[in-house]
Amino acid sequence: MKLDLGGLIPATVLPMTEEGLVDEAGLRKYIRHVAAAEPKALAINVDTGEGPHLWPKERLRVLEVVLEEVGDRIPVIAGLGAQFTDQAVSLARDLKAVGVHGLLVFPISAYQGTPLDPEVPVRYHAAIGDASGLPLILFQLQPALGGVNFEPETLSRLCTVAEVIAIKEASFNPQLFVEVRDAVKSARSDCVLLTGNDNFIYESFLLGAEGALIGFGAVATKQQVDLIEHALAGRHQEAREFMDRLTPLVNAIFAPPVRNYRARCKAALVMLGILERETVRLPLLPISAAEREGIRKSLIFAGELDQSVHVAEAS
Amino acid sequence: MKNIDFKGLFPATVLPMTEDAQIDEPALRHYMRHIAQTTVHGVAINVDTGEAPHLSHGERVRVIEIVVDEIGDRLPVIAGLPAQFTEQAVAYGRDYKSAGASALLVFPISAYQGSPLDPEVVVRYHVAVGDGAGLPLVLFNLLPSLGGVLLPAEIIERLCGLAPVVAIKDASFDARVFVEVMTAVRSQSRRIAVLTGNDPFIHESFVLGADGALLGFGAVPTGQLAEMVDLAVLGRYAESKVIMDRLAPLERAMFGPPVRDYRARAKEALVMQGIIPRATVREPLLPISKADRKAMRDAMVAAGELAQSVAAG
Repeated sequence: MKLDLGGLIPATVLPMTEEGLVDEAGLRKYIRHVAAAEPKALAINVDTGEGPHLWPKERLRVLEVVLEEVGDRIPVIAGLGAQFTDQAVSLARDLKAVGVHGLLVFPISAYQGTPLDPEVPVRYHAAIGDASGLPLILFQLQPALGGVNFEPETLSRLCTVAEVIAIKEASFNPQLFVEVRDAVKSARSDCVLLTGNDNFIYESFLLGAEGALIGFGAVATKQQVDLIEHALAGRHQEAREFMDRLTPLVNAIFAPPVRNYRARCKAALVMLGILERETVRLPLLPISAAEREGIRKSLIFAGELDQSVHVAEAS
Repeated sequence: MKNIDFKGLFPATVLPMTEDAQIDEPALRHYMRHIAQTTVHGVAINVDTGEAPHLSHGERVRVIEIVVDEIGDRLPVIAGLPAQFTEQAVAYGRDYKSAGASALLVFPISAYQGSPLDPEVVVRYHVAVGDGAGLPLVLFNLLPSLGGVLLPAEIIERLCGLAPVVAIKDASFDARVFVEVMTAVRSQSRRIAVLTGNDPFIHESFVLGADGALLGFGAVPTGQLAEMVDLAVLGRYAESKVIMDRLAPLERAMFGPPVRDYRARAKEALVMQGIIPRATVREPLLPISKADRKAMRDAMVAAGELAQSVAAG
C-alpha cells in the first residue's frame, strides 16, 4: 500500500479495564470513533497508547484488534520500541506478520552521549528496513523525553535507507524543526515531514509540515483533521480558528507533568462518552480532580463538550 | 540472605561475547574468576557496562545463572533491573531472584521523564519491585543525558524509608549533587550505603563520604581499583590517591567521547591483557577505531596494567 501521510495521523490511547488490561471492546469502539473522522493513518503502540508499558504480546494483540476494525480503510503505523538491533529486527518481523502498514522507529538508548556516530542509527534503521520491508518513519524526539536531536548529516544519511518515507519531528523547537526540514528535504525531497510538536501544531504547517503525527490527535480528532486540511490548502484563516479553539485543550492535556497526558486524554474521552474509564497502567497514576476540571472546561471551549452536560452533572 | 558489605568496590563487569555476539559462557566464567581473585566486595552484572540493555530477558537470566554458579559462593551478585513498566519489573525481578541474584540495581524508567516528577511514581515503582521480587534494592541516581533522572532529596528520603532499600548508586557526575544525595541519605535513621558511580571523581567521592563504589571502570583495572577503594574506605587517602593518579588516564581513555564506546574499549583492554578472547560488542554498538585502541593500549601501559614490551609487540 502506498502510504499517503499528508494530514492527521493521531496517536491513539489504549482503553483499559479496571485492572489495567487491554479493553478490547473499548478499543474497538474508540478506534471506530477515531476512524469516522477520516485521519490519514493511525499510530498505534506509541507513547500515547502506553506502548512502552505493554508486553510485546499485548502490543501485537492491540494491532490485531485495530487492523480488524479499520485496517481495510486506514493504514496502521505501529510504534517500534526496542533496545537493540536484533530485538528490533525480530519485533519488526512480528509487526509485518500482523499486517501493519508502516513503522515509527523510536530512538534507542545507544544514541545517548555525543558525538553520535551516524553509523549507529543508520545501521539500526537499515537492519529494520531490510528485515521487514515495511515503510519506516524516522523519529526525532527531544532529549528530555528520552530521544535525541540528530545532526543534519545523520538525517541525510538516514534518508538514504530505502524504506524511510517520512520523519516525525518532535524537538518541540521551531528552529530545529526548520533545520530538520532543510536537512531531510535536501537529501530526499519525497521524505514526508510530519510534525510531532504539540506545542506548535498549526505553526508547523507554516514552516513546511506536510502532516502531523501527534498524541493530541487522540482527542478532538475531527477538528484536527479539518484544521490540517485547511492549513495544507492554504486556508489559514480557517485553520487558525480551529487552532485557537483547540489551544486551551492542548495546553490542558500537555501541561506539566507531561507524563499525565495519557490519563488526561482518557479523562477527556470519558467525558465525551467515547471511553468507559480513565484507567492507565502503572507506573502511570490517575490524575487529580483539578486536572479533570481543567480538561472539562477546555473541552467545552473547544466545542467538544456541551455546556449543559456540565451544568446538569454539577447540579 | 547474608548482608552485603558495601564498603568496597563493586565492578560493573563486561559481557564477553562470541564472534556472532552471543554470550561466550566459558569466557564469562574465566573473566569472573579473574575478577574474584581481587578484593572486590561483589560484582554488578547486567548493567550498561555488561550491555544489559542489548540483551533479551532470557539472556540476562542466563548471565546471572552463570555468574552465580561461578562466584556466587564467594561474592554477592548485584543484578541490574532494566524494565519499562511496573508489572514487568516485578516479573523480571522475581526471575533474577530465582537465578540467584543477591540484590537488584533498579534502573530509572522512562515514566520518570518530564518535570515535576511526582514522588508517588518513583516510590510506588520501588515498593512494587521490593515487595514482588523479595530482594534488597540499590537505588540509582543517574544523569539525565545518560537516560536517567536526578532524584530530588524528598524522593531519595522517601525511598530510603522503604524496607528493601539497602544502598544508592549516585551517577550524577556532579560533586554538588553527590553531596546533596549524601546529605539526604544520612538524614535518615536507617543506614543506607552510598556507592559512587561517578567515574570523574572516584577518589574524591570517598573524601566526601562514600561507602563504596559501583563502577564500570572496575571492569578493567579491577585489582588496582579495588585496592584504591579499600585504602580510601580506611581513610588512607595519600595511598589511595597514588593509585588513582596512576589510573586516571585510563579512566579518561575509557570514558572519552563518545561514551557509548566504553564497553568496546573495556573489552579491547581485557583482550590486551589476555583475560577475554575478543572485543566483540553487540549491535547497535560498533567496534572502536585503531586510534582508539592505541589510546587504550598507551593508557593501560601508563596505568601499569600492561607491560611495555607487550604493548610494543
